[in-house]
Amino acid sequence: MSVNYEFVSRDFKNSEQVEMRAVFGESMFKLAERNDKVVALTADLGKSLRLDKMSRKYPQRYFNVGVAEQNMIGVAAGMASEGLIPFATSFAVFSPGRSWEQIRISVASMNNNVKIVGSHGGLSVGKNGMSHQALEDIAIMRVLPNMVIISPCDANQTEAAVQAIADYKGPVYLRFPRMASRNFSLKAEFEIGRSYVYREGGDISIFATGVFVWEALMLAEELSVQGVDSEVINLSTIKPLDRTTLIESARKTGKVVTWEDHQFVGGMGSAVCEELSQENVKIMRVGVEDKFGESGEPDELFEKYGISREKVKSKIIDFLKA
Amino acid sequence: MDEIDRSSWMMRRDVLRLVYESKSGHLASSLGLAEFFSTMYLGGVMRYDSMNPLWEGRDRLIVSNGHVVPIWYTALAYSGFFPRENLLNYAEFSSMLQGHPHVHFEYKSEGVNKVGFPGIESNSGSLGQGVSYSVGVAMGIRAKKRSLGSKYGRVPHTYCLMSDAELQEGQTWEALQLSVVEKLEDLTFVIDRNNIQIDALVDELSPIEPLESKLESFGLHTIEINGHDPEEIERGISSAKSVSGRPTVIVMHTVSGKGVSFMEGDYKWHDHIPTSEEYRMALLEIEERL
Repeated sequence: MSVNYEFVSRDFKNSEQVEMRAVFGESMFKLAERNDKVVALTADLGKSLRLDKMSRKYPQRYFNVGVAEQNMIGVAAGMASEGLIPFATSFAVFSPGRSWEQIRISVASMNNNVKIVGSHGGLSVGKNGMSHQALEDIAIMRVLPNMVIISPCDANQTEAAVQAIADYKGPVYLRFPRMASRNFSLKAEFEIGRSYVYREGGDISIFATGVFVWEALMLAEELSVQGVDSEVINLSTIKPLDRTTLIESARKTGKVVTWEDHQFVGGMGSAVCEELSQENVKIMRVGVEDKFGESGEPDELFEKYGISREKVKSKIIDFLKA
Repeated sequence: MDEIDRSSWMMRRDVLRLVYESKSGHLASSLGLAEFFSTMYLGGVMRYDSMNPLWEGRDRLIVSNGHVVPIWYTALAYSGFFPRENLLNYAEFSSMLQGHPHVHFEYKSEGVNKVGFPGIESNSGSLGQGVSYSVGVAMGIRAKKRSLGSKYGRVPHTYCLMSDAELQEGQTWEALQLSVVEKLEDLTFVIDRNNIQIDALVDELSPIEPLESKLESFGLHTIEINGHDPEEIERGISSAKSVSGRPTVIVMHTVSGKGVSFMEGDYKWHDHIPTSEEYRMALLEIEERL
């Protein structure tokens, strides 16, 4: 077994389903208890971001600014300039999205200490459909200087990330899905900028983020039965990319697959291509292929849009044959 | 107020020269705001320490209509934040006087440093954003109200200058609404009601009257003043600070291009650079006042 049990629970195949956003809310509550500079803002999505507990105990540090994302970001920026640590939360489609230009000037260009939280990233939003499925958020945040982008793989990592983000000085974008997903990582320390090798292998490197990290580990098991030895890396920080770790893996296997719940243009896959463009490696990007989403259950949507484990398995097999 | 008047006209001369020499800048609004900046910085209205621009007891001025930097940089220079000789570096490559306000934070173990033109609070140039920013600043100060109050005997006041055309950005109304919901009494908005924008007069393109009743209906304490009368400016600010439980908005009437007869009230001078002949004539008119 080349799974790295320093980071991955031995029982990862049977790990329970936990909502990252539920743990986000709980983590914010605990963070607020420890640090009186931490405040939370939301554009009327506090319930969805599970911030009720924090809002009840710390009403003076919780602000539902109403359905006004642009204002929310500007207000968070002003608060940050006065020494508070604001987490400005909404669904990723709305913020960033509607609030992108405010993030550009009031946060990024000032290197302002605002933490932007985009929940409901990806197709996995499900029934609410296209308008609510953020498939572009990583792309639009990647192009902003000073922006750090975090995409945790599960609830445990979300909890660790929230603390790391609060300690970090500067703009951060935190993105996670709506759906419950396998909580399989060990409560190890989370380091911004570090990608974690969850499984070592020599035939192919699978760079995954978010809910697809667990899927990649499971897929690696299936592939190994067919004689393919996969390396699985968790890209929990998408910007800045952990160049060293990724290049090492790419040089070892010569074949990289990126896997994200996002457009395959402009997101994590594109970032990897850019970073590895001078390496002798072939890269296949798995993501939504230039289409908008629609209503459905996450697994139905992953299947239709070619990013489910089964679909990726056959893509990889073809990729390896080529 | 003679000193303030004189400073205002001196600043106008600097603004004219700065824009003409660098061939860049928004002249009309800047000329119209000379009394406002003179009164705020030299008339004892704003509390600040030019030797320590980030002094935590300072009043904060957010200039949301960031294109008026020519007058703002000038006022800051007159107040000792910056040497007046360097004003002519406006918008030059590598100059601290960026075309629109530009500062950024640097985080070191010893603390936070702000890099850029001293006295500038935030980046602006994209209309609407400063209004939200000022609401956040006021809320941030409120969170430290007790400690600031006991340290300095007063709560720092936050001012937000904005333009009338800027109200066309929906974000401004989001911010005004929240400022009332949050009862931000230590925040004062000042709208430069000069009626110009780049392509038109505000009231011809997108009429906003009755403006005061719109603002009042949002719940803001609303007053109107003549923006060329330092005493009215001072009284307006005092009135704003005396109101508790809600923020104030001051609708400040100014004449764009004030001081140059052929510029006054003409929106074309919003972003037009004078020719050498126009510059010469404008300079003559301003210098006559000195």
